[in-house]
Amino acid sequence: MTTEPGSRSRQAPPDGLPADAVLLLELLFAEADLVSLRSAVAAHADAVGLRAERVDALVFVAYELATNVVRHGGGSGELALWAAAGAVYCRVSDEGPGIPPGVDGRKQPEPGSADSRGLWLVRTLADGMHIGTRISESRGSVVTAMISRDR
Amino acid sequence: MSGTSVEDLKPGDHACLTFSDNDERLDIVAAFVRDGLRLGQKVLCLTESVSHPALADELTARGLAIESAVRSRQLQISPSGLFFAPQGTFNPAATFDRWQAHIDQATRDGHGGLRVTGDMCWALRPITGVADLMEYESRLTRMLAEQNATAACQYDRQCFDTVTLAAAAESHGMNVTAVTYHDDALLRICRQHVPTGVRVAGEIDYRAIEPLTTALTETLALDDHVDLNLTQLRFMDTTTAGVIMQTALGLTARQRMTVRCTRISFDLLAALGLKELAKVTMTAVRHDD
Repeated sequence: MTTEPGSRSRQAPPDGLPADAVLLLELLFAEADLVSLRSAVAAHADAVGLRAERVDALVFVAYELATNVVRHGGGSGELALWAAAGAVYCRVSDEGPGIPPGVDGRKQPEPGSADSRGLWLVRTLADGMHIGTRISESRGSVVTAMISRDR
Repeated sequence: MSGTSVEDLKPGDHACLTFSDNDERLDIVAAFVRDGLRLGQKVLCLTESVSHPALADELTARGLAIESAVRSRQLQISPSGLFFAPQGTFNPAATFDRWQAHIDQATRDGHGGLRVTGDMCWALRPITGVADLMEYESRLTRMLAEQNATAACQYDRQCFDTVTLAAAAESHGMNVTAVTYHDDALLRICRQHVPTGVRVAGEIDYRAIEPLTTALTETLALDDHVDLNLTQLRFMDTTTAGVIMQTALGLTARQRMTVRCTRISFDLLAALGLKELAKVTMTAVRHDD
């Protein structure tokens, strides 16, 4: 489902998100959608008043999580964008093999090393990131990143 | 007619200079002016879209000694409209007379020839006589071929229609454009002449990493100081940031690198450790700079 920027859904937020979070955007993606995903995320984040620099950070975070799915997580997935009073949340899920244990982007990669670079950058730009698995399913991952309005 | 690099222009050449945005235009014009000043030629910059003071500032910012060149009268910056249509009418015969007068004056003043670049956007206005412009350009190609003079006429791809651009390309002896490694609706990767390096504009991700790698490999092989101009780059991904980091790690002892970019690119590259490398200088620019 894609929505017009500025429109809101009354769908209840999933566990882990604030009760006041409203759904801005929900879309399925594969590699061919990565460019339009960036502009869709930017338009929706801009419409809820996120500052330009934080919109850029959110677009990067959303794109990197989606690209991880395309390149390592089975090729396709789902992205949802939620807005609450203090932050915008980006949740990317897939049905791929899952993120390997220990890969969480908490450790700065050595200069020039390609290991976990994407998750490290997502964690650096976001104000919070949670890596989980799909509820009651044995495959896939769910990554939620938060971009605060105030940073 | 294949593309020619601005650095290969020589006396007798009449080039059609096309560009995709103002930054690209200024880079090529800066290289054109720089080479003319180095060769001791009289350099005439006819400008319109960019104001006279703004052009002087832009060329100075690219490291050219504009103030002293203007003071010594080796460089003259003046409005395009005054050269081509001084009374609001374009008269090819009178314009040829002006060309000859400038060429003769450059010789009398002891310069090593004349070098002129002109912004042709004056021709977008409803000026009497402008219908003869392409005929004039063809004649100018023949006239300059026998003179100690070089001309680069600036035709903005965003302003002129495709028919006029095709006619302009045909009527000039050669076509000068940026050396381009990648060009589509989303991304443009070009060689930058002044300062030397690479310019990346638009949005880039892992799918365009090959042309970026080629461009960066070439600049590493050619330039002691690599200027990586990312000021018009709206988006870069992790793969791109990683390739830039690798390029910086590949700098030799005598090489330096400057990275000019937006805040988001600055944050990404800094998070990978680029800012900590002694040979690299990073500058963040605002979105609208």
